Order: sequence, then C-alpha cells, then structure tokens
Amino acid sequence: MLIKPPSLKSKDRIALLAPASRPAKPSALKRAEAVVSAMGFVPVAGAHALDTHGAMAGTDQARLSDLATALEDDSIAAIWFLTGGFGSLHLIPDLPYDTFAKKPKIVLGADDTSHLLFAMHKQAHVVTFYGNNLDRIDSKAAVERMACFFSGRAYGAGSDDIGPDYSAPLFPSMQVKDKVVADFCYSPVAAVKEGRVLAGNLTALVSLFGTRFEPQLAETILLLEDRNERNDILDRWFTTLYISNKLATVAALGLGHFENCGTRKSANMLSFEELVADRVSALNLPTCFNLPFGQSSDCAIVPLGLKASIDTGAGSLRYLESAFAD
Amino acid sequence: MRSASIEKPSQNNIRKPCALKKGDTVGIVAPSSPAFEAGNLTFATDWLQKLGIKYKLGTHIGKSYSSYAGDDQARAEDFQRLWDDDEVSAILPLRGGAGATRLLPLLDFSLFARKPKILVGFSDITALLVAIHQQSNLVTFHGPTLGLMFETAYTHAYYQKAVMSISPLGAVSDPPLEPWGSEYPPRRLVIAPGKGRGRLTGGCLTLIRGLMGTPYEMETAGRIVFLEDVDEEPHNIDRMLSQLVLAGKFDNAAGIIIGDCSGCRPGGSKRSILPLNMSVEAILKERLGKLGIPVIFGLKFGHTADKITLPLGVMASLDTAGGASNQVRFDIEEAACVDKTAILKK
Repeated sequence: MLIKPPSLKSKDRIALLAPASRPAKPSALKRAEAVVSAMGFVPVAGAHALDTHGAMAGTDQARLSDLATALEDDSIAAIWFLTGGFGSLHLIPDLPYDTFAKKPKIVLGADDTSHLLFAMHKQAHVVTFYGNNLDRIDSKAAVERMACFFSGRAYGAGSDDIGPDYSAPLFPSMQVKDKVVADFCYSPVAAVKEGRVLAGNLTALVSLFGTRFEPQLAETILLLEDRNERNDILDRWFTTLYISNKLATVAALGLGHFENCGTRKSANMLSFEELVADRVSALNLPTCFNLPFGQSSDCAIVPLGLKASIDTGAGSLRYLESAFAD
Repeated sequence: MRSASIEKPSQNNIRKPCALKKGDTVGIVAPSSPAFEAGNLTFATDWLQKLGIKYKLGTHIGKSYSSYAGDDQARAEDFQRLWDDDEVSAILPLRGGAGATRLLPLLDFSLFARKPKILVGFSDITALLVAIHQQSNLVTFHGPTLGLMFETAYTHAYYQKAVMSISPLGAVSDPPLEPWGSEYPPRRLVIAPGKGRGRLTGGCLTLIRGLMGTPYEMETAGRIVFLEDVDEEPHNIDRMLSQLVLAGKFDNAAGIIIGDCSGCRPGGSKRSILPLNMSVEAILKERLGKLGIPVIFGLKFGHTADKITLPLGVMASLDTAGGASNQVRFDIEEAACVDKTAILKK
C-alpha cells in the first residue's frame, strides 16, 4: 500500500537539512532559506546544517538527529536537502521509518541524498521525490515551478511552453519538458510501458546493492541519472545492474541528464548511451536517453512509487496517479 | 556438453592449479582493456622467454571497443578458448583497465572447474578472480598482470613463490624500506587489534563493490578479506566500505587487510573532489575499527609497484594483537598450487 504525503500550503514549515555534505558556505544556507521563503513557505534550518566532520555536515549522529527530529516534528510539512556530496548512506540503518510511515511528509533530494529517498520509499512505502537539492535552484522560474509542484498547482498554464497533452496539471515540469524531449530523445528500444516509477542516482542505487535497502526493481519504470562521472565508471555501475539479472526485470528504463559526465579527457571511449545500448538492445528493454530528469533546476521533479506510462520512442512520461494524499 | 555440478567452495574441495614451470605454455589474454602498444607486449614476452616459458596469444588483445579489447563476446571467446586449450597451463591477462565484469554472464564456469589453471591479475581482473574462485571453486591469484610481473624484485619474487611453487607462501615479509625518509602509509598500520584465521579472498574495492547484489557477490564468511584501490577519493572508499558493512559482509569475516591504496587521498581522483575530506586512515578507523576483527592498512599489493601475489582460497592468519605495526604477523599457511604428477595420480 503506497502512502502519499499531503501537498504543501502557503506558510508551511520546511526543514532544510544537510544529511550528507555541508553547504559550500554559510551564505548558501541563507540563500536556501530565501529561496524557500520566496516560494511562500517557512524555512527551518537543521541544527547541524553547518557542522563539519570530514566532507560531511557533522558526525553521523548529528546528521541523523536532524533528520529524525524533522520526521518526528508535526509542525514540519516537508524535508528538503541543502546539498548532496557524501555521507547519507551512513544514516539509513538508523532512520525512524515507522515514524515516516505514520507521519508522511514530502522528502525531496538528489545526488548522494538519493540513498535516503530509495531507502525511505522502500522501508516506509511513502512516496519520496527526486529532483534537486536546494543549492541547485538557480532561477526565479525554478522557484515558481517548485512551489507550484509541491502545492499541486499548475505552472505556466496558457503559456507556449506547455505541450499538447497538458492533462495532468500536477506534474507541470515533466509536461513542459515532454515536447523538448521528443525532439532529442535517443531510444534504442521504443515501446510504451506502464509501471511504478523508481528514480534516482545510478551510483547511489548500486551502493544499496546487496544490502537490505536495495530497491525492488521488478516491473518498475527505472529512471537513472548521475553527475561528474566518467563513462567507463558509469558503465561499471550499469554493468552491475545488468549482471545482477535485475535489469531484465524492469518494465522500462529512462536515462536522464548525465550532467558533466562524458569521456572526461580519456581518449578512445564510446558514449555512455552506446555502452548501455548494447545490453538493453540484447534484452529488448524499452529504453530512452535524455529525459529531462536529473539534479539541475530545469529538471522534472520525479515522485518515487507512482504508476506511470512511459513512451520510450517519444521520450515522454505520463503519471497515472497523483503524488499527494489530498 | 556435460554440465558439471559445482559444489560450494570449502576447505576440503577447493581446486588448485598445477604450479607453472619451465617449458610450460601460458595463454596471454586481454579480458579488460587492450594492450597499450605492441611494444608493451614484447617486453612481457621477453620476460617469459627468460623464464623458459612459451606462450599463445589471444586474438583480440590489440582490438578495441570503447576502452575494452573488443566486444564482450570476442573477449569472452578468447579467454575461454585459451583456457580450454590443453597445452596452456596458465591464463595471464596482459593488463586490467575496464570491462572484465561485463564478461561474467558469458562464461562457462564448469570449464574452469574441469580444467584448473593459474589465473593471475589485479584491478579490473578482480571480477574474474572472485567469480571464478567462487563459481568454479578454484584458487585464483591476486597479483601482477603479465605486463607488471617484472616490475620490482619483490613483486617478481612473490609471483614466483605463488604460482611456480608447491610450498606455502608462509610468513609474508615487506619490501625493503628506503634507508632514509618516511613512507605513508606504513606497511601494516593496525586499525583494529585481534587475531583471525581463514581462507583469503578479496581484490580491488571498486570491482568488489560492482559485484554486490549479483550472483558473483564476494563470499566473506570465515575469510580474511583483502581490499585495495587506486586514485579514489577517501569518501568514495568510505561509500564502498559502508556498502559492504551495511550488507553484513564483515559480520562473519576473520580479518581485513587494506592495501597501500596508491593515490587514494583527498583530491587524488581528480574526479569527485570534496572539501575537508578525511584521510583513508580516518575512514578505516570509523568504518572498520570496531568490528571486533583484526584490521591492518598499508600492505603492498594491488596498485603499487611492489606487490605480493595473494591466492584466493588458501588458509591464512592475521595477528594484530600486539597493536604495533612491526608486531603484525600475516601468514599464508597453505600452498596455492599442486604438482602436476599429484594431479595425474588422482
């Protein structure tokens, strides 16, 4: 049974946490607070958001305490992460998953915090959201779009950006991008498939492999992205998916933005698209590349767990249910 | 083809290859990345001639598909054709690189069980060492690839001890220290004190992590696990170790040996640098310091010029109870190879 969090209302309180690395500088936290205020919500920074412990924002205990406190606190309507980096994997054995299931709230992250989104979705059966950490919100349009998304309001209705099948106003950002993707999508295997969406960072997904937090991939529409990584390393993690025999069980595969990925000065290397295509073609697995999904603010926010339909030939994803309880 | 049912590895039924000796023929393959240049191969084959060893070449070692030596099918065919060749007594990958993991679904593991042979490599070759050791119940060797077995006197001495002898490697010694200056990490920095005894397994951490959640995932119960990597950020080492800890991989292990991990310092990867990063040493203390099993850091194997050849599957013991680096004892108690005549008698 899928549990959905309520959508946000004006003046809702939002916890701004750093469960992995710390914000780059103190003003980055102030900036994130300003962004959230501009959306009409009330920012509540975690007590340890600017702590340091190696590359992490405080010790495991400190970061866990911020997250557990926000999950427990009835006055907090959503938990958004300040940045990614490294360290969220340490927290997942000890999170209060029962509390999250009893008091579902919007949890949004990306990059390293993908570990939390996968684990919290799996353990508590609550819809979590892959989109962007707050340090990646970089335009007024992104602020407005994110506020609309989590308030369940249509964004940009009537504007020229909106695609022809603007039928699901709950997911305007994905709808906006539908048209663009259709122009650029590369699809080694084209088909229309339905399934539950599972979305996240490829490195993080593989970091959960072999642990009890490993997501169930069977029959999902699996959406993957990564950032700052070389093609052959991405291929290593994709190979893990392939040889695990779990890739063969997914309904369809959607690859998002692989921001700043590539050959990274290594000569004689094919693109990640081609390295993936040799195996998805062999499996006849419906797949498309260049979905508007990733870590930057012009990417769609993707809820984990919802029923959806993907047309890999057109590069479009359409949700068949709402992400929110109301 | 007869499908051999392969029993799970145990001390009693582990298969050992015949020791390599003068006059034998080896198969040179490239299951991962191709030879850099033809000249790299010449230097290696000259060394084989010096040892009185003949060779056969895989047909794809100079081919290229992305950073791999030909497509997966071609590399797998090369590897298995030479393994199946009764004149070939050892399979020596020329180098690692990337791509070996892609071959695993294409391999017939009963072949390696039917015809036990020496397989030596490290880095990317780890995927083959672990998978073949476990699926075919065969001792495999984490040591220099063919292109590096003559890199230093220490490396070559341990290579010969491991694959050209039927005696146990015994108490492992370190390469000689430079008379002046300091070296970091020390060869046997004690991360956690204790005593452990078990069969060896392990390899390059990036590859071990890539096998997690797959049919080839490393088995660690009762084992002494050795791990190393190269040019990785400490936080990436942490993420991979944390994954193994979360998966319970050290719950029943007998001990952990972390290698020198050349270039694994903040900024070392030039790929995913984070500010204020910890050292590998600090991470090891946090993640592995309180498991209740002996742990050391700094042994020379893997991505260092000096490297021990470590056989996966043989009994070894690790004693760090003294707490000081110079008191650490690491013994490889059991021979990795058998004598050809002993096989013929069976």
